[in-house]
Formats: sequence, C-alpha cells, structure tokens
Amino acid sequence: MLKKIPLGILFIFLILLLSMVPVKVGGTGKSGDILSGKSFVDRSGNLIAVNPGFNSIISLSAVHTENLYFIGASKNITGVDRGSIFPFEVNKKQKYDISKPYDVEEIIRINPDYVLIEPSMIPRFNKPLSRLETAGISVVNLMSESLEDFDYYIRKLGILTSCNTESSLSQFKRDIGLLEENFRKHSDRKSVFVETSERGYYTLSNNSLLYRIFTLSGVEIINPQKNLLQKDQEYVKAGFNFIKDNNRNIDYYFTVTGPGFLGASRNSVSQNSRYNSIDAVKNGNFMELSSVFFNYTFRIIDGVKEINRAVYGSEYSYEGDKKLTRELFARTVYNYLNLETFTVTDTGYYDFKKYNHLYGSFQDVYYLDKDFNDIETVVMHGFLKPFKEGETEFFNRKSSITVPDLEQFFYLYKDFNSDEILNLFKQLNLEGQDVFSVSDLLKILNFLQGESV
Amino acid sequence: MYKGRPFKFLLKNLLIFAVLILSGCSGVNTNISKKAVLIVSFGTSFVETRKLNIDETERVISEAFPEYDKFIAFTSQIIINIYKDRDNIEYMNVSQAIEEIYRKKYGEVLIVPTLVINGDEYDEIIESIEPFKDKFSRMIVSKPLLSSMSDYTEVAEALVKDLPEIDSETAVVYMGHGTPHHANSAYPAFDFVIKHLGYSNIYMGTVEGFPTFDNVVEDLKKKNYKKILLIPFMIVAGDHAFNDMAGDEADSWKIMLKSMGYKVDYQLKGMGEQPEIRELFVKHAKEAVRDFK
Repeated sequence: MLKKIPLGILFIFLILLLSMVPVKVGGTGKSGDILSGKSFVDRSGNLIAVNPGFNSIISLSAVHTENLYFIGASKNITGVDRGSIFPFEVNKKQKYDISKPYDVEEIIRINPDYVLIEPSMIPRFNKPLSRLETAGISVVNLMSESLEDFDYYIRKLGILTSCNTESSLSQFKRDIGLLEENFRKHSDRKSVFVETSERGYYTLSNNSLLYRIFTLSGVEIINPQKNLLQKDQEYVKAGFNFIKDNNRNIDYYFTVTGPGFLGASRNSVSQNSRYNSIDAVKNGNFMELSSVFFNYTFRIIDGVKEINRAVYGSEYSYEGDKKLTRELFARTVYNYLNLETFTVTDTGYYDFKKYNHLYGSFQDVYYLDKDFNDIETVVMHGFLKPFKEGETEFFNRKSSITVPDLEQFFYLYKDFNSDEILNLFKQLNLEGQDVFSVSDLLKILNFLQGESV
Repeated sequence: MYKGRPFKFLLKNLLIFAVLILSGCSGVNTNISKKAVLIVSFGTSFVETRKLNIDETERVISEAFPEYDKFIAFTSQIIINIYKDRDNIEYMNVSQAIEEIYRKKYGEVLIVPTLVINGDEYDEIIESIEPFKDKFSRMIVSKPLLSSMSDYTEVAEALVKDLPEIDSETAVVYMGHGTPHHANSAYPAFDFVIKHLGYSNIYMGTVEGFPTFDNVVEDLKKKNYKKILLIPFMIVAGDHAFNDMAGDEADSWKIMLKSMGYKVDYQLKGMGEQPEIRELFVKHAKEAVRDFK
C-alpha cells in the first residue's frame, strides 16, 4: 500500500504535466502561447484564461475591431475606439477615447469582460491602461507579429469570443495561395518603389508586412536594404538620390498614405517638380495606396489585388452577354477603368452628413461581399446613384441599368451632355435600347478609350 | 487669447522665457531704425502653390516696406516639419522667428499675418508673440484679410474682377475653410456683402463651418442655374481645394454638384495669386504702422 502512494503521486504529477503541454494549432510555432482552447498568453506575457460563455469586449484598436467583425464576433463588441470606423456597422457602437479620463471612467463603469489593445498603445496610454487594470478590468494585448503569425492571432480573438475562426482562416489561406499562384505566372516581373514617407523618402524594408504583401502581388521591390540601422526595422531611409539612381529600374511608383504612413499624396506629387525626374511618375505609373490594406486584417487580400491590378492590369473576366445589372455595371467599370479602390481613413468621416452616399452604408451590399470594393468605388465616384428610403440606402444589385444611369455615368466620367450621349448611342447602334448587356457597356467603354468597337 | 489656457500658454512659452532669462537678453531693443517685417502664413507643402501664393505675397509685402528686413514664418508645425524632412528646408514657426528678430536686436517688428479671418491661427500668432511684447520698442501687428467693414467690399470687388464672363445660368460658389471659432461669422458676412453689392449669383460655403455645402445647395436650387463655377476662398489652393472642392470622389463639391445635374467648372487658384489681395495685406500693414501708438 505504501509503495503505491509514490507511484500514485508520480502518476498524478505526469497527468498534470501533460495537461500543460501547449496544443499545437499550426502557424509559426508560437502555438506555445495558446495553452488550450480556453487560454493563451498575450503580447504582454499575461496568461489570459477566458471566461466560459459570452464575453463583452471593448476594442481599442481599429485592427482588432475589423477582425472581430470578420470572424462574426460583432455581437461581443460593446464599445470601440474612435479610430474604429470599418465596417460601417461599427459606427453604431459606443466610441471611447482613453486619452480622456471620463471615457476611462465610463469603461470602468461599463465593466466589460475584456478590453483589447495592441502593443503600440502601451507607451502612449500607460496611465489610463493601468487605471483600467487597477479597476479590475482585464486588458488583453494582442497583435500579429508576421503574416505567418496571423492565423494564430485570429485564433486568440476566436478564443476570447467563442467564435470559430477556422473557416475564415481557411478561406484567407486559400485566397492568398491562389493569388500567389496566379501572380507567380508573370514572366516579366515589374519592379516598384514604395514611398512610405515623403519625409526623407523612406521605403519598406524586407522585414515589413508591407514587403510581404508587395511580393505576394508579383512585383520586385527596389529598396536600399543595406541602409538598415537595425536588423528588425520595418522601414528604411532611401533618400531621393536613391530613387533617382534607380529611376530606370522603377516600373511603378507607389506611395502609401493614411494612419501610420506619410507617403506623398497624389496632389502633393503633382505639386513637387522633383517627381518629374522619376519616369514612372511622369508616365502615369503611379498610385497612392491606402494604408487600410496593410494592417493585419483580412483585407490584406484586397491590398495584394490592388497592387497587382495597378501594375499588371485587371484580370477580371467580363461577363459577356449577361444582362447589365447594377452589380455587373459596377464590376465591369471598376475593372475596365482600373479604378483605385475607394477607402475611408479619416476617423471623422462619419461625423458629417454626406450628400450622395455614405461609404459602406448600403443595406444590400455587405462588407464581406466579394464585390464590396467594386460597388463602393463606382458609387463613390458618382458613376451610379444610390437608392434612398429616408436615411437608408440601397444599391439594388439586380436592377437593370437604365438610360438615365448611363447618362449619369457618361456625364460624371466624360462630361458628356445629352446630345453627345445620344450621338454616342447612335454611332454604336444602341439608340432606342432600354435594356443593355455587359457587351454593350464594353463596346461603349472601348469606344471612349479610343479602341476599336 | 489665452482663453483659459494659462498652463498651455506657460508651457509653450517656457523655453522662450528660459532663453530670455539665461541669455541675459531681458532688455528692450531700443534701436527703432532697425526694423523687421515678419510675414506669417499657415503654410502649404504643395511647392508650386506655395511659390505662386505665399512666396509672391511675401515678396510684395517686403517690397512695400523696403526699410524693413524680411522674416517669414509658418504657423503649421506639420508643414514646417515636412519641408525639413522632405526638402531639407528650414522654416521657422512664429515663436522661433520672433525670438530670432529679438536676438538680432531689431527695435521695431511689424507682424503681417496673411490669413483670411481673425480665427484660431490669428489667436495663436498673438499668443506666440505675447512674451516679447515688451521687448521691442515697437511691436506692430497687422490684421487678416477680413477685419474691417471696408475689407469685405474690397475683397468682394477684387474677386469679382478676377472672374471670367459669367452668364445668368451660372453661379459662382466660393469654398472657404470654415471654423468652430466665432470668427467663422466672416463667411456668412461675406456672402451677405457680396449679394448686397449686386452679385446675386455668387455664393459662399465652407468645408468646416457655416454656411455649409447643404446651405449653398438650398440657395442654388431656388434659381435655375445650369452651371457652377467653384473657386477656393483661401489664400492658398491646397489640399482642401484639390480634394474637397475639385476631387474625383463622391463627397467632393464637384462630384456632388455634378450628380445633381449641374455642369461644374473649377479654378484651382488661391487668393494669394491676386494682386489686389496682396495689396490689401500691404494696406493693412501700412495702416497698422500708421495707427501704432
């Protein structure tokens, strides 16, 4: 009997030891930070043991907010920071600014289960975050550290919210894989320069997420990697002389603007005669990219597509003789004209009334729809009008394109008046038609671009 | 000027106080034959626009005061930082400029703000020069564009003179910046004045104040206009003009008006390009010198 006791203790000890072995979930090998389906270690090194059942979350990071929506956890969100503006639905949530003491106190009063932050917030907001923790609020510090780490970070969001993230992540990996395979086929790979700040003409280093996204899109990056002062730096100073020295090799010039980036805007570039010495800019091979595509969100896919489309042109397959509905019109025009995808980065955008259309607010166009960007971009250019019932907006995807719709488009796109539109229709044998096909639209677009009908 | 922000004021000017005390430069500059004109603009990072508007206005003002040495400053620290980091060009802010003028022993300083209204930027200029108000024998501050009653008429006439031929089916819409500051009243006041001068087809709207774009549209719809000419009501045609006024996206004034069926034209030209506007700044500066006690 006495001999069995030490064996028994050993047995129990072994069981305990095995139960603490991290569950391998794939990813970077950082699976050790996820200890079980109910706990993980956050970026501050804190063990987060998630409460069973529903957990209310206040997200103080626009990146986390967006990802929570994408994994279906919007119901868990009881509040967000003022920088959280996507998707549109988030603007109905209560917004907080933790630099304001009364907002901090209000969060304490609400007493959410978790407050989500990201590592970059800690130096700036140390005091209010400490106040939250002192008040007993669990502050969870999360962010992906690399593209490989992304699924791992999303899974932690899933654990916090009891949301199954596997289908979102599988789809994301499939999409990335498909894009990579597709873009690998470009035999004549173009070289690009990416300006991340016009102050000193900084560009991306090989360590950055931005670099990964650009390489996924099938381009070669021109950057002075040797200028790195620190091994893990994300951005490196190129200086304008570097750009000039590499002018002949630069097929396309990108600038990145929006939160966290200080690339020159299109207007600023047009005003600065320096850029005239860059052939790519002079020849119109220039694009201002929105930084919303370069955070650790599912919209990385959109960023990859945007870059590839800019450099190599759209590979969209036009849907020939199908009836021209509003959604097909949007997809066709967006791809044919290679429109820059419209996004919103101004956190005050939704504070002011919009006359035409409020970005993202269509009741029948969902931010997860594959053609969300096509539709929003075309409408935000004024090429199609929204339908309104009071304050509610509809796109009416399946409605046919009408003659007034085409008149609106021609007027906004080419300043055509009614007589010019009538002549155009006559020339293309479309006069008298009130139902159109995609082919009819392509005929018109080809004609306007000066190509043969 | 302080508007209940004494702590911010003290902090902001602490360095200046420290320099004054430590350098022993606490005396008054008495040499009034040594004169400086400090021309202050908000600034713009748009290089070509800066040359046409700000640089030219500075030249005209400076030439009107040949006995004054020219100094320039921007009020926007962001723009100052852009020039330094991007182009390696150093612009001073107002505090730095006034301190340099003091250190160089100028006895008289004339400060000329090239601003449209007596709003936040003007208040900040006054706040910045306040620590030096007793350090010069003469510190003279000129007024922004729309300050006295006659200014409204003069600006209106100057702008109208610069317009192309306008027919009865065309409305001109000026787009000002607008502000929550009480000086925003200058914009509806200008609209009132220009209408009472007989220009019933000229309208004023603002991006961030009143009258709003909606107010303008409401007025436009009362008449049978077919065409709109958009013009920035700003010294410099910068980001607001390029994007909010003439941009190609749905919430630009151009696209919104086109969507309503108007034919829309626009000018990307700041008021600083107009000789009459530059002369008005000169006039204000001369009046300030004349009226200084």
